[in-house]
Amino acid sequence: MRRLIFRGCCGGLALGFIALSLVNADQPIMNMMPRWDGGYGFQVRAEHVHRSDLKQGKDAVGRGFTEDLTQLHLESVYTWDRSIRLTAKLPYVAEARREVLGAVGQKVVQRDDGIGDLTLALPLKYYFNLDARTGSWTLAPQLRIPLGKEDDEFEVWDGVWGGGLSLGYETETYHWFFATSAGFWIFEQPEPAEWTYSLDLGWNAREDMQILWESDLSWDDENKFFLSAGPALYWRWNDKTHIRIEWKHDFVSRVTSDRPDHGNGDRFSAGVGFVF
Amino acid sequence: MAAQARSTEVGDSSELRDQAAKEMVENHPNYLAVYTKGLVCSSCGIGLRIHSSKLEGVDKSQLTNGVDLDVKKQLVLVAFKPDAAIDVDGVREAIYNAGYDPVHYYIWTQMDGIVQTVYPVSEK
Repeated sequence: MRRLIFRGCCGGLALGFIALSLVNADQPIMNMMPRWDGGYGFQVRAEHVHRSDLKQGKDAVGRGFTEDLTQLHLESVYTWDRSIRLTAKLPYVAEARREVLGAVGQKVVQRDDGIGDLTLALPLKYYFNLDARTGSWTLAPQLRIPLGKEDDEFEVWDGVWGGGLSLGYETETYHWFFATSAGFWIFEQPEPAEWTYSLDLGWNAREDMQILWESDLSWDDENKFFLSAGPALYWRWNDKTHIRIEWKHDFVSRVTSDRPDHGNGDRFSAGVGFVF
Repeated sequence: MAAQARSTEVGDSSELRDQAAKEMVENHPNYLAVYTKGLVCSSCGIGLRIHSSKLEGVDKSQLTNGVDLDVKKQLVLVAFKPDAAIDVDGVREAIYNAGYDPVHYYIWTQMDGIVQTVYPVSEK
Protein backbone atom coordinates (compact mmCIF):
# COMPACT_ATOMS: atom_id res chain seq x y z
CA MET A 1 0.00 0.00 0.00
CA ARG A 2 1.30 3.38 -0.77
CA ARG A 3 -0.09 6.56 0.58
CA LEU A 4 1.00 9.97 -0.48
CA ILE A 5 0.03 12.92 1.61
CA PHE A 6 0.45 16.52 0.67
CA ARG A 7 0.31 18.98 3.47
CA GLY A 8 0.81 22.61 3.97
CA CYS A 9 -0.55 25.78 2.51
CA CYS A 10 0.50 28.42 0.11
CA GLY A 11 0.09 32.17 -0.05
CA GLY A 12 -1.94 32.31 3.11
CA LEU A 13 -4.48 29.77 1.94
CA ALA A 14 -5.24 27.46 4.83
CA LEU A 15 -5.72 24.52 2.58
CA GLY A 16 -4.46 21.12 3.48
CA PHE A 17 -3.73 19.01 0.46
CA ILE A 18 -4.13 15.33 1.04
CA ALA A 19 -4.07 12.88 -1.79
CA LEU A 20 -4.24 9.17 -1.98
CA SER A 21 -2.05 7.59 -4.53
CA LEU A 22 -2.91 4.47 -6.36
CA VAL A 23 -2.95 1.70 -3.88
CA ASN A 24 -1.18 -1.54 -4.36
CA ALA A 25 -1.87 -4.18 -1.73
CA ASP A 26 0.50 -6.69 -3.26
CA GLN A 27 3.60 -7.65 -1.38
CA PRO A 28 7.06 -7.51 -2.94
CA ILE A 29 8.97 -8.95 -4.73
CA MET A 30 6.49 -10.76 -6.87
CA ASN A 31 3.35 -12.27 -5.49
CA MET A 32 4.58 -15.84 -5.40
CA MET A 33 8.28 -15.32 -4.85
CA PRO A 34 10.31 -16.34 -3.04
CA ARG A 35 8.16 -19.13 -1.60
CA TRP A 36 11.16 -21.27 -0.70
CA ASP A 37 12.89 -21.55 2.69
CA GLY A 38 15.71 -19.08 3.04
CA GLY A 39 14.74 -17.27 -0.15
CA TYR A 40 15.44 -13.57 -0.39
CA GLY A 41 15.38 -10.83 -2.93
CA PHE A 42 15.18 -7.15 -3.66
CA GLN A 43 13.56 -5.02 -6.27
CA VAL A 44 14.25 -1.56 -7.61
CA ARG A 45 11.22 0.09 -9.10
CA ALA A 46 10.87 3.44 -10.81
CA GLU A 47 7.45 5.04 -10.69
CA HIS A 48 6.02 8.11 -12.32
CA VAL A 49 2.60 9.53 -11.48
CA HIS A 50 0.94 12.30 -13.44
CA ARG A 51 -2.32 13.85 -12.32
CA SER A 52 -3.90 16.35 -14.60
CA ASP A 53 -6.51 18.21 -12.56
CA LEU A 54 -7.12 19.83 -9.22
CA LYS A 55 -10.39 18.52 -7.87
CA GLN A 56 -12.75 19.03 -4.98
CA GLY A 57 -15.10 16.17 -4.40
CA LYS A 58 -16.05 14.90 -7.85
CA ASP A 59 -15.52 18.23 -9.61
CA ALA A 60 -12.43 19.72 -11.19
CA VAL A 61 -11.78 23.13 -9.68
CA GLY A 62 -8.52 23.71 -11.50
CA ARG A 63 -8.08 22.07 -14.87
CA GLY A 64 -4.46 22.00 -15.93
CA PHE A 65 -3.22 22.25 -12.35
CA THR A 66 -1.00 19.20 -12.59
CA GLU A 67 1.16 17.20 -10.29
CA ASP A 68 4.02 14.91 -11.26
CA LEU A 69 5.78 12.50 -8.93
CA THR A 70 8.86 10.50 -9.80
CA GLN A 71 9.94 8.00 -7.20
CA LEU A 72 12.35 5.13 -6.82
CA HIS A 73 11.29 2.26 -4.59
CA LEU A 74 13.71 -0.15 -3.00
CA GLU A 75 11.84 -3.25 -1.86
CA SER A 76 13.20 -6.36 -0.23
CA VAL A 77 11.90 -9.68 1.04
CA TYR A 78 13.14 -12.60 3.10
CA THR A 79 11.34 -15.95 3.47
CA TRP A 80 12.06 -17.97 6.59
CA ASP A 81 9.93 -20.80 5.40
CA ARG A 82 6.97 -20.87 3.09
CA SER A 83 4.66 -19.56 5.80
CA ILE A 84 6.60 -16.53 7.08
CA ARG A 85 8.13 -13.61 5.21
CA LEU A 86 9.47 -10.19 6.08
CA THR A 87 9.23 -7.39 3.56
CA ALA A 88 10.51 -3.82 3.56
CA LYS A 89 9.70 -0.98 1.20
CA LEU A 90 11.56 2.30 1.15
CA PRO A 91 10.65 5.04 -1.35
CA TYR A 92 12.85 7.85 -2.54
CA VAL A 93 11.19 10.89 -4.06
CA ALA A 94 13.44 11.83 -6.95
CA GLU A 95 11.27 14.73 -8.00
CA ALA A 96 7.81 15.87 -7.03
CA ARG A 97 6.12 18.90 -8.50
CA ARG A 98 2.59 20.15 -8.13
CA GLU A 99 0.62 23.21 -9.13
CA VAL A 100 -1.79 24.63 -6.60
CA LEU A 101 -4.00 27.65 -6.26
CA GLY A 102 -2.35 30.72 -4.81
CA ALA A 103 -3.96 33.36 -2.62
CA VAL A 104 -5.39 35.31 -5.56
CA GLY A 105 -6.08 32.32 -7.78
CA GLN A 106 -2.68 32.24 -9.43
CA LYS A 107 -0.81 29.04 -10.17
CA VAL A 108 1.85 28.25 -7.57
CA VAL A 109 4.44 25.52 -8.03
CA GLN A 110 5.63 23.44 -5.08
CA ARG A 111 8.34 20.78 -5.02
CA ASP A 112 9.58 17.97 -2.82
CA ASP A 113 12.27 15.32 -2.82
CA GLY A 114 14.09 12.97 -0.48
CA ILE A 115 13.51 9.71 1.39
CA GLY A 116 9.96 8.70 2.15
CA ASP A 117 8.51 6.53 4.90
CA LEU A 118 9.54 2.93 5.45
CA THR A 119 6.91 0.18 5.34
CA LEU A 120 7.60 -3.14 7.03
CA ALA A 121 5.32 -6.14 6.68
CA LEU A 122 5.22 -9.66 8.05
CA PRO A 123 3.17 -11.68 5.55
CA LEU A 124 2.01 -14.96 7.06
CA LYS A 125 1.15 -17.32 4.25
CA TYR A 126 -0.74 -20.56 4.05
CA TYR A 127 0.07 -22.35 0.80
CA PHE A 128 -2.07 -25.05 -0.72
CA ASN A 129 -1.11 -27.34 -3.57
CA LEU A 130 -3.83 -29.01 -5.58
CA ASP A 131 -3.83 -31.06 -8.73
CA ALA A 132 -2.77 -28.57 -11.45
CA ARG A 133 -3.32 -25.57 -9.18
CA THR A 134 -1.52 -23.83 -6.36
CA GLY A 135 -2.26 -20.83 -4.22
CA SER A 136 -2.05 -19.17 -0.87
CA TRP A 137 -3.86 -17.19 1.77
CA THR A 138 -1.96 -14.27 3.23
CA LEU A 139 -2.41 -12.30 6.42
CA ALA A 140 0.00 -9.39 6.52
CA PRO A 141 0.41 -7.03 9.48
CA GLN A 142 2.22 -3.89 8.37
CA LEU A 143 3.99 -1.00 10.00
CA ARG A 144 4.70 2.47 8.61
CA ILE A 145 7.81 4.12 10.04
CA PRO A 146 8.21 7.85 9.41
CA LEU A 147 11.57 8.61 7.85
CA GLY A 148 10.68 11.48 5.56
CA LYS A 149 11.56 14.96 6.69
CA GLU A 150 9.12 17.83 6.84
CA ASP A 151 11.09 20.68 5.33
CA ASP A 152 8.73 22.47 2.99
CA GLU A 153 5.10 22.98 2.06
CA PHE A 154 4.88 19.91 -0.09
CA GLU A 155 5.51 16.55 1.54
CA VAL A 156 4.86 13.50 -0.59
CA TRP A 157 5.13 11.21 2.41
CA ASP A 158 3.27 12.16 5.53
CA GLY A 159 5.92 11.32 8.12
CA VAL A 160 3.62 9.69 10.67
CA TRP A 161 3.45 6.26 12.23
CA GLY A 162 0.89 3.86 10.89
CA GLY A 163 -0.30 0.30 11.24
CA GLY A 164 -2.09 -1.86 8.74
CA LEU A 165 -3.44 -5.30 8.14
CA SER A 166 -4.26 -7.01 4.86
CA LEU A 167 -5.82 -10.31 3.92
CA GLY A 168 -5.09 -11.79 0.52
CA TYR A 169 -5.88 -14.81 -1.57
CA GLU A 170 -4.19 -15.89 -4.77
CA THR A 171 -4.26 -18.93 -6.94
CA GLU A 172 -2.58 -19.99 -10.17
CA THR A 173 -2.85 -22.68 -12.79
CA TYR A 174 -0.59 -23.35 -15.74
CA HIS A 175 -2.50 -20.74 -17.75
CA TRP A 176 -4.22 -18.41 -15.29
CA PHE A 177 -3.54 -16.30 -12.24
CA PHE A 178 -5.99 -14.70 -9.83
CA ALA A 179 -5.29 -12.60 -6.77
CA THR A 180 -7.39 -10.47 -4.48
CA SER A 181 -6.55 -8.57 -1.34
CA ALA A 182 -8.26 -6.27 1.15
CA GLY A 183 -6.70 -4.21 3.88
CA PHE A 184 -6.79 -1.14 6.03
CA TRP A 185 -4.37 1.37 7.52
CA ILE A 186 -4.63 3.48 10.66
CA PHE A 187 -2.32 6.47 11.06
CA GLU A 188 -1.45 8.94 13.71
CA GLN A 189 -3.97 11.76 14.04
CA PRO A 190 -5.04 13.76 12.16
CA GLU A 191 -4.38 11.50 9.19
CA PRO A 192 -7.45 9.57 8.11
CA ALA A 193 -7.68 5.81 8.15
CA GLU A 194 -7.88 4.17 4.73
CA TRP A 195 -9.11 0.95 3.23
CA THR A 196 -7.89 -0.84 0.13
CA TYR A 197 -8.97 -3.60 -2.17
CA SER A 198 -7.20 -5.09 -5.16
CA LEU A 199 -8.20 -7.59 -7.83
CA ASP A 200 -5.65 -8.99 -10.29
CA LEU A 201 -6.27 -11.32 -13.20
CA GLY A 202 -3.37 -12.81 -15.11
CA TRP A 203 -2.68 -14.94 -18.14
CA ASN A 204 0.53 -16.91 -18.44
CA ALA A 205 1.33 -16.11 -22.04
CA ARG A 206 4.53 -18.14 -21.78
CA GLU A 207 6.22 -19.99 -18.98
CA ASP A 208 8.39 -16.94 -18.40
CA MET A 209 5.79 -14.25 -19.07
CA GLN A 210 2.57 -13.19 -17.44
CA ILE A 211 0.14 -10.52 -18.64
CA LEU A 212 -2.15 -9.06 -16.02
CA TRP A 213 -5.05 -6.71 -15.58
CA GLU A 214 -4.90 -5.14 -12.16
CA SER A 215 -7.55 -3.11 -10.38
CA ASP A 216 -7.15 -1.15 -7.15
CA LEU A 217 -9.77 0.47 -4.98
CA SER A 218 -8.96 2.80 -2.12
CA TRP A 219 -11.02 5.02 0.08
CA ASP A 220 -10.64 6.77 3.40
CA ASP A 221 -12.79 8.25 6.10
CA GLU A 222 -12.64 11.69 4.48
CA ASN A 223 -14.78 10.33 1.66
CA LYS A 224 -12.04 9.95 -0.90
CA PHE A 225 -12.50 7.17 -3.39
CA PHE A 226 -10.09 6.04 -6.09
CA LEU A 227 -10.60 3.29 -8.66
CA SER A 228 -7.51 2.61 -10.72
CA ALA A 229 -6.85 -0.15 -13.18
CA GLY A 230 -4.54 -1.10 -15.99
CA PRO A 231 -2.31 -3.73 -17.54
CA ALA A 232 0.93 -5.16 -16.18
CA LEU A 233 3.60 -7.37 -17.67
CA TYR A 234 5.88 -9.73 -15.77
CA TRP A 235 8.87 -11.30 -17.48
CA ARG A 236 11.40 -13.74 -16.03
CA TRP A 237 14.74 -12.90 -17.56
CA ASN A 238 16.34 -15.84 -15.76
CA ASP A 239 15.98 -17.59 -12.40
CA LYS A 240 17.47 -14.65 -10.57
CA THR A 241 16.31 -11.65 -12.59
CA HIS A 242 12.70 -10.61 -12.98
CA ILE A 243 11.17 -7.62 -14.72
CA ARG A 244 7.79 -6.05 -14.26
CA ILE A 245 6.15 -3.03 -15.87
CA GLU A 246 2.68 -1.69 -15.24
CA TRP A 247 0.43 1.19 -16.05
CA LYS A 248 -2.68 2.27 -14.22
CA HIS A 249 -5.28 4.92 -14.91
CA ASP A 250 -7.59 6.60 -12.42
CA PHE A 251 -11.01 5.71 -13.73
CA VAL A 252 -12.61 7.24 -10.66
CA SER A 253 -10.84 9.79 -8.48
CA ARG A 254 -13.10 11.47 -6.01
CA VAL A 255 -11.26 13.59 -3.48
CA THR A 256 -12.61 15.06 -0.28
CA SER A 257 -15.08 17.89 -0.69
CA ASP A 258 -13.42 19.86 2.11
CA ARG A 259 -10.44 21.06 0.09
CA PRO A 260 -8.80 20.83 -3.33
CA ASP A 261 -6.69 17.83 -4.24
CA HIS A 262 -5.25 16.37 -7.43
CA GLY A 263 -6.96 13.62 -9.38
CA ASN A 264 -7.46 12.10 -12.82
CA GLY A 265 -4.07 10.48 -12.85
CA ASP A 266 -1.95 7.88 -14.56
CA ARG A 267 0.83 5.85 -13.05
CA PHE A 268 3.64 4.06 -14.84
CA SER A 269 5.99 1.74 -13.02
CA ALA A 270 8.94 -0.34 -14.16
CA GLY A 271 10.99 -2.54 -11.90
CA VAL A 272 13.69 -5.16 -11.90
CA GLY A 273 13.88 -7.71 -9.10
CA PHE A 274 16.50 -10.21 -8.06
CA VAL A 275 15.73 -13.34 -6.05
CA PHE A 276 18.11 -15.89 -4.58
CA MET B 1 19.91 -45.25 -2.34
CA ALA B 2 17.84 -43.65 0.41
CA ALA B 3 14.68 -45.27 -0.79
CA GLN B 4 13.03 -48.58 -1.33
CA ALA B 5 11.54 -49.40 -4.68
CA ARG B 6 8.04 -50.63 -5.18
CA SER B 7 7.01 -51.92 -8.53
CA THR B 8 3.32 -51.13 -8.30
CA GLU B 9 0.89 -48.44 -7.31
CA VAL B 10 1.60 -45.65 -9.70
CA GLY B 11 -1.97 -44.62 -9.05
CA ASP B 12 -1.86 -41.27 -10.85
CA SER B 13 -5.05 -40.14 -12.48
CA SER B 14 -3.10 -38.37 -15.19
CA GLU B 15 -1.78 -41.00 -17.52
CA LEU B 16 -0.07 -38.37 -19.61
CA ARG B 17 1.95 -37.16 -16.67
CA ASP B 18 2.74 -40.69 -15.64
CA GLN B 19 3.92 -41.50 -19.12
CA ALA B 20 5.97 -38.31 -19.32
CA ALA B 21 7.68 -39.09 -16.02
CA LYS B 22 8.59 -42.57 -17.21
CA GLU B 23 10.00 -41.23 -20.46
CA MET B 24 12.08 -38.73 -18.52
CA VAL B 25 13.90 -41.36 -16.49
CA GLU B 26 13.95 -44.21 -19.01
CA ASN B 27 17.52 -45.25 -19.77
CA HIS B 28 18.75 -42.76 -17.17
CA PRO B 29 19.51 -44.79 -14.04
CA ASN B 30 20.75 -41.66 -12.28
CA TYR B 31 17.63 -39.58 -12.85
CA LEU B 32 14.80 -39.09 -10.40
CA ALA B 33 11.45 -37.70 -11.58
CA VAL B 34 8.90 -36.44 -9.07
CA TYR B 35 5.25 -35.57 -9.56
CA THR B 36 5.05 -32.37 -7.54
CA LYS B 37 1.59 -31.17 -6.69
CA GLY B 38 1.15 -27.44 -7.19
CA LEU B 39 4.08 -26.91 -9.54
CA VAL B 40 2.27 -24.93 -12.23
CA CYS B 41 4.47 -21.83 -12.45
CA SER B 42 8.11 -22.04 -13.39
CA SER B 43 8.94 -18.69 -11.81
CA CYS B 44 7.47 -19.79 -8.49
CA GLY B 45 9.34 -23.08 -8.78
CA ILE B 46 12.77 -21.48 -8.86
CA GLY B 47 13.27 -22.57 -5.27
CA LEU B 48 12.96 -26.17 -6.41
CA ARG B 49 16.01 -25.74 -8.59
CA ILE B 50 17.87 -23.84 -5.87
CA HIS B 51 17.21 -26.42 -3.16
CA SER B 52 17.58 -29.53 -5.30
CA SER B 53 20.77 -28.46 -7.02
CA LYS B 54 22.43 -28.05 -3.62
CA LEU B 55 21.95 -31.72 -2.76
CA GLU B 56 25.06 -33.84 -2.54
CA GLY B 57 25.59 -35.92 -5.65
CA VAL B 58 23.49 -33.80 -8.02
CA ASP B 59 25.13 -33.61 -11.44
CA LYS B 60 25.03 -29.91 -12.31
CA SER B 61 26.50 -30.57 -15.72
CA GLN B 62 23.22 -32.16 -16.78
CA LEU B 63 19.80 -30.62 -17.32
CA THR B 64 19.64 -27.05 -16.00
CA ASN B 65 22.11 -27.01 -13.16
CA GLY B 66 21.10 -30.60 -12.45
CA VAL B 67 17.37 -29.93 -12.28
CA ASP B 68 14.60 -29.52 -14.86
CA LEU B 69 11.05 -28.35 -14.21
CA ASP B 70 8.05 -29.33 -16.35
CA VAL B 71 5.30 -27.10 -15.02
CA LYS B 72 2.84 -28.28 -17.64
CA LYS B 73 2.91 -31.79 -16.20
CA GLN B 74 4.02 -30.79 -12.69
CA LEU B 75 7.20 -32.83 -12.85
CA VAL B 76 10.62 -32.23 -11.36
CA LEU B 77 13.59 -34.08 -12.83
CA VAL B 78 16.85 -34.31 -10.89
CA ALA B 79 20.08 -35.76 -12.30
CA PHE B 80 22.59 -37.41 -9.99
CA LYS B 81 26.21 -38.24 -10.74
CA PRO B 82 26.83 -41.83 -11.91
CA ASP B 83 28.71 -42.72 -8.75
CA ALA B 84 26.23 -41.03 -6.39
CA ALA B 85 23.18 -42.50 -4.73
CA ILE B 86 19.81 -41.07 -5.67
CA ASP B 87 18.84 -39.12 -2.60
CA VAL B 88 15.07 -39.46 -2.69
CA ASP B 89 14.67 -38.22 0.87
CA GLY B 90 16.77 -35.17 0.10
CA VAL B 91 14.75 -34.34 -3.01
CA ARG B 92 11.52 -34.82 -1.10
CA GLU B 93 12.66 -32.35 1.55
CA ALA B 94 13.92 -29.91 -1.05
CA ILE B 95 10.56 -29.93 -2.81
CA TYR B 96 8.67 -29.40 0.41
CA ASN B 97 10.98 -26.58 1.49
CA ALA B 98 10.44 -24.95 -1.87
CA GLY B 99 6.74 -24.73 -1.12
CA TYR B 100 5.35 -27.76 -2.94
CA ASP B 101 4.09 -31.23 -2.13
CA PRO B 102 5.89 -34.23 -3.65
CA VAL B 103 3.58 -37.10 -4.54
CA HIS B 104 5.13 -39.75 -6.80
CA TYR B 105 8.78 -40.59 -7.43
CA TYR B 106 10.03 -42.36 -10.54
CA ILE B 107 13.37 -44.06 -11.19
CA TRP B 108 14.54 -46.38 -13.94
CA THR B 109 16.12 -49.62 -12.84
CA GLN B 110 18.77 -50.81 -15.22
CA MET B 111 18.52 -54.44 -14.16
CA ASP B 112 14.83 -54.79 -14.94
CA GLY B 113 14.66 -52.13 -17.60
CA ILE B 114 11.45 -50.77 -16.12
CA VAL B 115 10.40 -47.60 -14.38
CA GLN B 116 9.40 -47.99 -10.77
CA THR B 117 7.63 -45.76 -8.35
CA VAL B 118 9.70 -45.28 -5.24
CA TYR B 119 8.91 -43.81 -1.86
CA PRO B 120 11.28 -41.97 0.44
CA VAL B 121 12.21 -43.79 3.60
CA SER B 122 10.50 -41.11 5.66
CA GLU B 123 7.19 -41.74 3.91
CA LYS B 124 7.08 -45.46 4.34
